[in-house]
Amino acid sequence: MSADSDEYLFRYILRDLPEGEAERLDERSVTDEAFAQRLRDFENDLVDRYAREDATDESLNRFEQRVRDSGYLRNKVQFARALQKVSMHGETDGTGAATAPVLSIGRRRWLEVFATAAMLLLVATGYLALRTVSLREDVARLQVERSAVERQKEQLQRDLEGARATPQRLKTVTDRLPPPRRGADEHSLRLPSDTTEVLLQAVIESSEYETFWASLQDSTSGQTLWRSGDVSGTADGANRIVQITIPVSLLKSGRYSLDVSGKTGAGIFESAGSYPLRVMLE
Amino acid sequence: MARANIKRDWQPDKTAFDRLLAWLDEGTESRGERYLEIRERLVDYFGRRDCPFPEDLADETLNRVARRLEETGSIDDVVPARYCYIVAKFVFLESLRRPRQVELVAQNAEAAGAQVATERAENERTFACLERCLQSCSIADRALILDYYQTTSGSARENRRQLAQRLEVTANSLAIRACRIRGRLEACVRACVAAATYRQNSVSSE
Repeated sequence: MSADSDEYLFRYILRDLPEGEAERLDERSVTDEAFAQRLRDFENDLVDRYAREDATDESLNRFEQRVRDSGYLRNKVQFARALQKVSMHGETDGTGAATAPVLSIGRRRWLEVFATAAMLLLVATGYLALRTVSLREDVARLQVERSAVERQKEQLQRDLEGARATPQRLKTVTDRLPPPRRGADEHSLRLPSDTTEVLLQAVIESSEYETFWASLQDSTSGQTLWRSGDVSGTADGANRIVQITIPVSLLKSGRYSLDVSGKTGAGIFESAGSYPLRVMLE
Repeated sequence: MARANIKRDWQPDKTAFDRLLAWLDEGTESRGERYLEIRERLVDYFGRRDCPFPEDLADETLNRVARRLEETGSIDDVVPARYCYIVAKFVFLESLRRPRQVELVAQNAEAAGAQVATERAENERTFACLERCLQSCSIADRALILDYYQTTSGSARENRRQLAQRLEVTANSLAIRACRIRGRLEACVRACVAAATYRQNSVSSE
């Protein structure tokens, strides 16, 4: 099943994928603009179909169960129903914003001023939102304090304090991988025990690629342990540097191969380099 | 411990926020568009992970990124979206260890037999908020989003094809534009519903 197929996305939304695959899509939903857009479109379409209640296929039955369990999806369904209601209202009574004429691109330029103002307002709202996070958390906490589950809350609160006392921190080891050469030794990577991730800067002896994919294979078993999403390369003279971050939790001492593919101007991915690694966990 | 409290309570001032916007823009000038896009992706990420307050966690993530930028001056070893995701993963893991406030409140409401009434009230609030948020859209965006969804399922494709023709854009471009407007409207409605719920709870508790 393709990683971008409808069925795959549907299973992801249902949280029906193995955790590793779901995490990979989680990552792409934040780091890969095209994928984020595709996923949002697909999710909106699914929510709209469900909100219209005009489809009865089996997939929507499965989706209904997920909606029951997910506050995020319930909110989206409520929004979709409201949007349909407002749209249909505009269509039936002929009044309101829905019947306002849609202007062509050429005649809309002056409206960009309003759009810019609206954008600035949204950004300002975001800024205020950042500053009010703790306030909203306090409000929610007060609501809980009035509930009948005081003892349970106190226990959870103690857990929270414990979590705050031992915050998790990233510790990254950075290493540059020179272009692979025939007969050259494998690249050694020594990782201190408290390292959480390793940032590899792979040097690609070509400037024809803009986008890259990378995968990490265990050289002994041949198993693929990890794949990246789309990664941009940065120019370095005639070369490109591709930065790849790999969680250390995937690694143990041993031999690996980091395979990097580059996307050509024709949109085809081809091998841009294979970097043999020897990992030593300290 | 005192230092930890200072770090946890840190809030970005205008300079720190501007630095965050510039860093997310990666040398282009998006006028905050990039920030909104990343924030929306983070909200979706936390929402799909069933976090009860996805917007708060998205803000907490960006808050930490802004704080890191304030401390180090720049983050050059990883692209912004990727770094935001790494931080978001930690915020998510920490959130799993916090009390599930909303669930507890919801359980109380259910125990009181109030679930149906709550859902109806939420639908009404959502509808009222959507009307309000539509008024804050530009005329062009409002007309587009309502025209885009002013269809029955059978006629949707044809209606949108005609709309794209009228706007002199491709169907794909129209879909992307409608999706972006919808995303902003959803964010506006979420904020509006949260504020209305808070006001109502405040009145109820007095």
